[in-house]
Amino acid sequence: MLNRKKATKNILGDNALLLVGLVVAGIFFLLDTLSAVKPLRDGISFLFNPIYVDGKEVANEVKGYFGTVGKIDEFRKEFNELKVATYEKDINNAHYQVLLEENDSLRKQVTLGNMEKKYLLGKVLEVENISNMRIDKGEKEGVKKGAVVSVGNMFVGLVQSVDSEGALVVLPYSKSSTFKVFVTNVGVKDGKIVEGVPILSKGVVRGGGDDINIENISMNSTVKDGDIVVTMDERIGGYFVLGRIANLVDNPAATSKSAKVAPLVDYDDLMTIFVEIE
Amino acid sequence: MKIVLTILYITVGFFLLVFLESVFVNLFSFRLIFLLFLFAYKKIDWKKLLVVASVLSLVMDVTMHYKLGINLLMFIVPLGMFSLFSTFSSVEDGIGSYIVRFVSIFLYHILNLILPSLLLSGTLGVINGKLLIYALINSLISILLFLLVNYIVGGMRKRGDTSKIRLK
Repeated sequence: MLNRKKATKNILGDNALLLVGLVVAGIFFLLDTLSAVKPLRDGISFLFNPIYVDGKEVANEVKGYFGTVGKIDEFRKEFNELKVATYEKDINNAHYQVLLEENDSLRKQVTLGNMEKKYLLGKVLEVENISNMRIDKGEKEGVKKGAVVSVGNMFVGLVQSVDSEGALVVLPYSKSSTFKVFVTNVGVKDGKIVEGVPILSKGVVRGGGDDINIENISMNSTVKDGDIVVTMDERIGGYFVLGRIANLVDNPAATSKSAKVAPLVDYDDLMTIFVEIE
Repeated sequence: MKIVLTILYITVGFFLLVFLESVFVNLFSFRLIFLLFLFAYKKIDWKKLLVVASVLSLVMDVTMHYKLGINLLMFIVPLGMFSLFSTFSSVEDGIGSYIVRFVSIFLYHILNLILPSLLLSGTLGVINGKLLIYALINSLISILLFLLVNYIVGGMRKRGDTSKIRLK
């Protein structure tokens, strides 16, 4: 009997929660239509909104992290596509650079003073120890031993040996390279040696392996650093600019001056050259 | 001192609950507070539960920019349905109790979709198949969570009983 009473009371109590809850909800709802509860809203908002916003931020961070992890396959695919696109652009850019360099070389060659000779465009395959250069033109294209290799009016070297598919060019750095030159202070204009060049002194250029030396410069000459060194050798057969005088040694006890020659072109960077074929 | 500590615990509990509710709502669109009420319903004194429910619903109404009383109404209606079922069959344990709870939670999620919009702007809100499936999945997860909590609490009770026996 007592248990039944207790059970009835419990059922009533639980149902009372629903009834009172409904009433309270109704009261809240009605009160909210009045502006009287605004301070209550403001107070609750002041206390709990920061917590709620913090929770939202934490949730967004977690969601973002898992979203990223979930899309990792998509990101990887996109990354690979971008990588391929970058490679394609690099290839296009490299191709453009090659064309640009070739165009530049051709322009220099076109402005040559001596237009009677014929030149063959070739590509540099390899530069060995800045002494020798391998090129892709050989006997088949008409390249002969001793042919002059140049870029515009700048001297590059002499063909030392030729096979059917390529040739080996000796650069001025090579110890086996030696030829007669003269020094002038006029310089070159638009890649051409101007006429009436004053010869300050004659000399001999010898390759030193790591550098290019010029010897036998007249003691009485007014040669100075920065003057232009021009070839004047029967093997070369024309005037080509080799480089500039550097580190001039002016020893009063010596019978002649000597210096180093700084080439106008960096042989390592050359891609296109011209080989004299006639 | 005990009263001060109790007030302190309750206050901290409120803040923690609001934080967790915010995390769960924004992360999984999952309401945690209703689960707690469903768990506490018929287990603790109804007056205490009503006070806690009223205060928490007020807080949630303000933070979610609802009209006051909406959250309490959304708690009460599914609880009422649960109570109605409990008059016909036992809802203490067994598969039936979980089915009834599942239906209550599903009703709560449906109310969550329509009631705020209805009371704020007079429109029923957006209900489509996708949202209904979400509500269904949320209800399923909730009931699994409920099962897990019941299992843990049951285990703890059992451990308490064995320690009592040992003491004897």
